[in-house]
Amino acid sequence: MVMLKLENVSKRLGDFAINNINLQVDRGQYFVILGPSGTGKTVLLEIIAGFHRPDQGRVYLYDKDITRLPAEARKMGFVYQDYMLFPHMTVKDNILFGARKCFPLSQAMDKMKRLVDLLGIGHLLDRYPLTLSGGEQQRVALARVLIIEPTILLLDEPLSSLDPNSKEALQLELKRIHEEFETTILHITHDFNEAINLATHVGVMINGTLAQTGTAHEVFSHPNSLEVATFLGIENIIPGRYMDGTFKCNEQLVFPAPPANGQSFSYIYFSSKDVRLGSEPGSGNCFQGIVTGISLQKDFVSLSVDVGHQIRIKLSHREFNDYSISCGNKIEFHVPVSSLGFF
Amino acid sequence: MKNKGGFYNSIVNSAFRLSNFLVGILLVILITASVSLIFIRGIPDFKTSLQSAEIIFAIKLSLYTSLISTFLCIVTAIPVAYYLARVKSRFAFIINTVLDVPLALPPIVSGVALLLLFGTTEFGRHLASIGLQFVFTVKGIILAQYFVNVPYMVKVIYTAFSSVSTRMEFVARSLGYNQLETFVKITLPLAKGGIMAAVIITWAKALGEFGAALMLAGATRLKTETLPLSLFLNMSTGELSLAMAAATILIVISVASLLVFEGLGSGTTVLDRGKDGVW
Repeated sequence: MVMLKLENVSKRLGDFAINNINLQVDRGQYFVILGPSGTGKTVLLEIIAGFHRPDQGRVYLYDKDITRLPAEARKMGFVYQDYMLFPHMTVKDNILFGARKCFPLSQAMDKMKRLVDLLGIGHLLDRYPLTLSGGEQQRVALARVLIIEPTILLLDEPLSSLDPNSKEALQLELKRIHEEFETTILHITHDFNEAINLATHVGVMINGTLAQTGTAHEVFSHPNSLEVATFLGIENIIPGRYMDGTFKCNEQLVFPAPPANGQSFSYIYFSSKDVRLGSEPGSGNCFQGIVTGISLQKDFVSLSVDVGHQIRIKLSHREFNDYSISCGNKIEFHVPVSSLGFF
Repeated sequence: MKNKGGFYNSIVNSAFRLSNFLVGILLVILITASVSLIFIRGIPDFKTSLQSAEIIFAIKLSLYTSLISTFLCIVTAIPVAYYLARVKSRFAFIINTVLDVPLALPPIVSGVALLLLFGTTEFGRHLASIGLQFVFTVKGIILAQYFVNVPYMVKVIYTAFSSVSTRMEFVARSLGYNQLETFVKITLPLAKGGIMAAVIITWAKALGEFGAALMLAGATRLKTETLPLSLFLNMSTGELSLAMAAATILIVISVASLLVFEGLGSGTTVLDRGKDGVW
């Protein structure tokens, strides 16, 4: 069931601009918008919450046009990266702040008790926000919005200011909240791991536009454009020409390609960790190249191999030692057909 | 340029630091010597001066006018400052620029401007006909204090409002509070320190207001005689002990409010101390 829908939303705000955003979030999804910093992700979230009115386009909640509905009437829960707890109120008053508007006090108190137990912040109720750790503040901020039973939870980089331990703990917390409350969550971040760990659905936002949306699996394994593939960190993205059944990057680099079905491809991509050393008898895509660079990392070794294009190959340290590779060596490698992608 | 070596340079450095320090000392001596002279002259007769009808009148009138003008400043500065802190439009820029004008003017010029507006125009005559007579009246003192101080107060409160994150207000709104409720529950309490500082500094400036009030309300003994006007009148007639008493009171109030202002830590320093020499 479609809960939130954005239609051609554009907004220019200072240095940030978002263009022609179309987005659909269904009830119960954990939707993560992933994008580099400074691409207007926060502005998008603030438009959905009603803090800014879009220059163009419409926002719908359950088919109702809410583009001009004031923020206070939308009942959306908004959590910022830096929590934005009210520093002049105790934790308890922060949590009850919105609840006082929605429920009679006794009911609000009951709800608070349950949430506070769930989030493990019962011992903090009489403290002031500035005395809390980042993780504690974020839990309080979550309690403050969950208590009003928001239609949708909008999270703006909710984990970015936390240390690695709290980050992991809060990711689990968010997962639990999503399941236990059946909350629809729209979460924006620049952190892949968050997206991979939490998202049921993903949108990639680059330069103020949504470049690709889909299930987490679709987006991560089938990027549909150069921008998305680059942002996802795929190392080998090579331009070339598609001709029925093959994809030709240059004389040496020719790959088998799927039937085009009317579309045309101009790039081939594959991850550096999918490249295998040695040849594979019977498969068409075996190549020879000169090693031009070796970079030793803690968990792996990264090779640059010249085959007319620079191909990146990721090896384990053991493989690297077994083959005793050094710069200038000629090596043979192949790319399994199943790990090739095209757009 | 030729490098003259370590010894030469360390001598220059020491001399440079020392001379900066010495200039500071000279300034401190100048200020403390002149100000404490007022105390020395004022204190002996302070008690008897305080019992004179004229000083009592001046204290009462100063308190009365400064409290009312400060109140009016708060009531008008808060909405304007909030508007300026939140709206970044061309119109906001114009308001801001116009507000700078009275800040830059010598107060005595502001007084003349007010005198022309309220004394020579149809607008002023109309106001006078419905009981708002500003020229040569106590109301004129209040207006003069208000006119000179309100831009200053807007600036200080503006700083206080600007330091409250709009995102914090956004959160309050998404929790069901409209803009007015958000302002009352979140913005005002968080800007409280800055607003208090603005109130105190404005009140102290109003107590010391001289130039604009002199032009608009005149200097009539026991009628428009505030503390600074009393100081002026008594100096010109040679009543030194009364003059020193008025000056002493003004100094005490000014210094005390300055300390409170700095203590409230509004982040603003006292840039404009008036041009009358009282402040």
